[in-house]
Amino acid sequence: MIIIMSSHFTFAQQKMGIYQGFKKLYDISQNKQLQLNSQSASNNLKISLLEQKNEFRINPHFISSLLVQSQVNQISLGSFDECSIYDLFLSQSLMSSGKPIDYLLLDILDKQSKSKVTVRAEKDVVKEIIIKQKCKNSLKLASYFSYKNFLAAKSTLLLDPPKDHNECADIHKFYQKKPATIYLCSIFNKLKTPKFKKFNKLVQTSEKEYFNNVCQNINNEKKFCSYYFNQSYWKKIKNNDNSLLTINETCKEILNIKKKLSLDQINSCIYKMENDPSLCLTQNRMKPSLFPRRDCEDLSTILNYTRLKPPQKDCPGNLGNEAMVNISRIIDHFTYSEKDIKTSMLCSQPYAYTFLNFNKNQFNEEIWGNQICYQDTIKNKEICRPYIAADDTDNNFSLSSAIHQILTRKRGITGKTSCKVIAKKEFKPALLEFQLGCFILIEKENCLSTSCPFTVVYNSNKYNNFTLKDGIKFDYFRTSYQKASYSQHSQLVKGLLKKTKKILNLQHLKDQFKEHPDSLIHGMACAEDILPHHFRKEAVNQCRPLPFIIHGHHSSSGSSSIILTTALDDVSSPRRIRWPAVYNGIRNFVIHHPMKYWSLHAIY
Amino acid sequence: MQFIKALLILCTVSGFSKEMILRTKLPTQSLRYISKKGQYSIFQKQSGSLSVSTHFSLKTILKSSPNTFYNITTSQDEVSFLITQDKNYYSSHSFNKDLDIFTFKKGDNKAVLFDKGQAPRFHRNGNWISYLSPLKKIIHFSIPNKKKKFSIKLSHRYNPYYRSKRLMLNDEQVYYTDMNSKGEEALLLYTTIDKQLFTVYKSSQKGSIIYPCLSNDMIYLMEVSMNSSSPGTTIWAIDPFKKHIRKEIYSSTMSDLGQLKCLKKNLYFIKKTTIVNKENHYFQSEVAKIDLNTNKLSLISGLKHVSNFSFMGDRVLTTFNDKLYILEGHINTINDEIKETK
Repeated sequence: MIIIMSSHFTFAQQKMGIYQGFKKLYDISQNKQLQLNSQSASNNLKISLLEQKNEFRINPHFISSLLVQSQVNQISLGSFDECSIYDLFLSQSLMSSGKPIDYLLLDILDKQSKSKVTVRAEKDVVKEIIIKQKCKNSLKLASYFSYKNFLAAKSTLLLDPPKDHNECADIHKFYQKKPATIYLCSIFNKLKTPKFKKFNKLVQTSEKEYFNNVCQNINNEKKFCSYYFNQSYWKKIKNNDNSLLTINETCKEILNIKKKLSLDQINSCIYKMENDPSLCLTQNRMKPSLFPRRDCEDLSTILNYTRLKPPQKDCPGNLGNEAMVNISRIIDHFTYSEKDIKTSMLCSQPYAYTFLNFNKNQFNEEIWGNQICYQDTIKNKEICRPYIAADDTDNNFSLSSAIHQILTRKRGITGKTSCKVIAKKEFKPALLEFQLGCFILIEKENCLSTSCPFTVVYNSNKYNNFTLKDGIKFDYFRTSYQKASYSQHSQLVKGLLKKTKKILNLQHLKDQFKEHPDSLIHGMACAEDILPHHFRKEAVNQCRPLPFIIHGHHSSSGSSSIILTTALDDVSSPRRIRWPAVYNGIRNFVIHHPMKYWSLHAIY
Repeated sequence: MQFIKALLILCTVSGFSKEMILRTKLPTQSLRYISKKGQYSIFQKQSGSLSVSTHFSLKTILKSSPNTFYNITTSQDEVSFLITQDKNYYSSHSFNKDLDIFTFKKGDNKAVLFDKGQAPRFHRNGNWISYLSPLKKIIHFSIPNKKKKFSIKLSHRYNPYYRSKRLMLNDEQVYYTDMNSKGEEALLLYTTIDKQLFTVYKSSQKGSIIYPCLSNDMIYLMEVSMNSSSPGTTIWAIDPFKKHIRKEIYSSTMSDLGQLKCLKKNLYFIKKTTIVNKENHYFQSEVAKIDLNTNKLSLISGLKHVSNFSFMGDRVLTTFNDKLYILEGHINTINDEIKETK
């Protein structure tokens, strides 16, 4: 039909110019339509021909005219199979003079008279006689997208945002092929009309933006994908609670607010970030990590490609063990839940707990060499237990719980007395509140979750009837065949019930993300190659092993940059590094490895 | 000194050099030092020990357990060595952990434990040593026998992985970098006699990284912007004897990879050579050299994606895809020639 139109158009253009040519065509089309309407009205009684199973088709002029007058974006949806046109009809997407039509003009071949009759079939007739027999699924779909069932139907069409262009093309194809898209888009295109206004209650703002992109760009994959990759990440996520975690902490610093941010505050933060991209470079006060970070503009593009689920608290610099940061981020990604972490918990604590709990469940807790020991007089033996420098009476691994347990055994303190961890500077022994009870004094500036010198004061006296052991040692990747299964990489695969695969080149990496969009790729490389701005090579063969997670790639015009977060980076500030630099860093690390063990692996 | 801006010099960039793979009789990954003619080398063994090999002997200067990792830097005259020993290279994963630092001199039989810390450097041709305690945020300066020493407390607060770069002009004037709470990095002068601090240069915008180095009593300082909306690189020449007056000697509208390092006659750094794809920030980089006599900028590597380089005496080396390349300096470290009998 479009070809016919365009040939007419060329012809008309030669003779009369664009507007006049189109006007002429429009007049011809309208006259033909009027003729058809009057012709079909006179054949009203011949509708019974349909029931007699005579061959029929929708009148081509009628359908062409409807498609021209209906929303352009949905026309292509109707071109898939025989039923698609009925989907458009049932979903009220076929328009005439700005109104949805409730009838079809059918050309029926009368077997007896061997003549063609054009008949007007009303909606009920079309449903009963044609759709019920030919396209049963269309009727089902129409009922799924009724107001009553809309919530459930909508949720089946809501997909995770794509993380690269290949994935985006697949999602676009998914919507193009899905007949349900016709019904969905029909509703989203009419949300402002009185009849469909009630649907607004069932749709969140973020979903509205998501489906508007689907419906407006169903014919244009490029435009559809540019919504994900070429627009400000900040604007895109402001209505998505989960993604907001990525900017929440940064915004708190920008606005200098410690409480949970309101939507207005987030909007104001986004405004600031877009107007002064350098703001994101230096927001590091609450989350000690490598500095400077990415600027807001760079970050906005990079975050469009990330697939790493953000943890609620992330302070790599306070943990004192970079491999543990990486491992915990991987565990958090694969066991992601939206449960709230206690707000009182220090920023670095969740990672330490995640790591220790995970290894405990793998019967591998002996790698946690930080232990507090005491002589148990009843059992007459030394008892040691692992501890994390944290104040959390609910957690057995916390320092406060460990000291409390020792005091219970040795001094018989009651369960009600708890041990508080406080900064040395805040402890004022002259004050009454500090004279009774148990206090663990730390030097906040030198305190990491894995190493934190402390003093215990119990009822105003120093208490040191315990000994400390330290040293958290473990292999990230295997360093010998004997210990292979104890490496953290092996533990992750075993404990998370996942598969693993070596990623030897860029194509492996791309294929991995294409086939398993939820997977992560983790590895170890020389920091001097991955972060040359920060770490200079001062000696020949110098290489500081740096763990990192790859969670996306930005490929364009034959070149690929890798989206990765090193264990030194704040998780909400990933980097974009050209693939050869990443590969170079891995090769330069592997060459020193005692087993020459390749250090880039996917977990999926 | 008359300098021409690099934008002009760039037009005269000479062709790529032919970098050579360093050939040694030992696996190159074991190598930690090799003399210009290859007769004297220090290498680490799988057993965890560090050994010196000469034409006539092999001796172990440090012993440790397997999976120990060593780094070695040399004094300018390549007589003294600073060695860091990481006994738990593959199992203790703290970036800021203190390592054992040893000193060693050519001709000695054993390396001597000097202190614990990180990133030790020689200054004043081996007469001074500086090193870092990253957790305590302290820079230590000491002469090798420790009879003279002092330390400086750094004030940076938010970057736990910050590595201060430091220079020593003479026994009284020490330069080092630090960062303030706004994220501005600065080059500071510390005078050891009156213990005064003086800001020599403060980065022009927050989030920039600066790299200072010293050549012929002249300070060279590179500033690289990390802000993608205002990228750029500048190198300044700062005269410490003329009230730190500074002159721009190189500027680029691209943010280079930095790492400015000085030798007597040249400056070296990693330069972004081509932006291949603006959309995904894909670029190429090489080691660049500025000749301080002719002010000429040239690229001395042709590997397209160089991200680091180091010095061994006055030789310039880079490791690329696990191969060790000599970019400048003596190349023939293996002499396999069979001499004719007379």
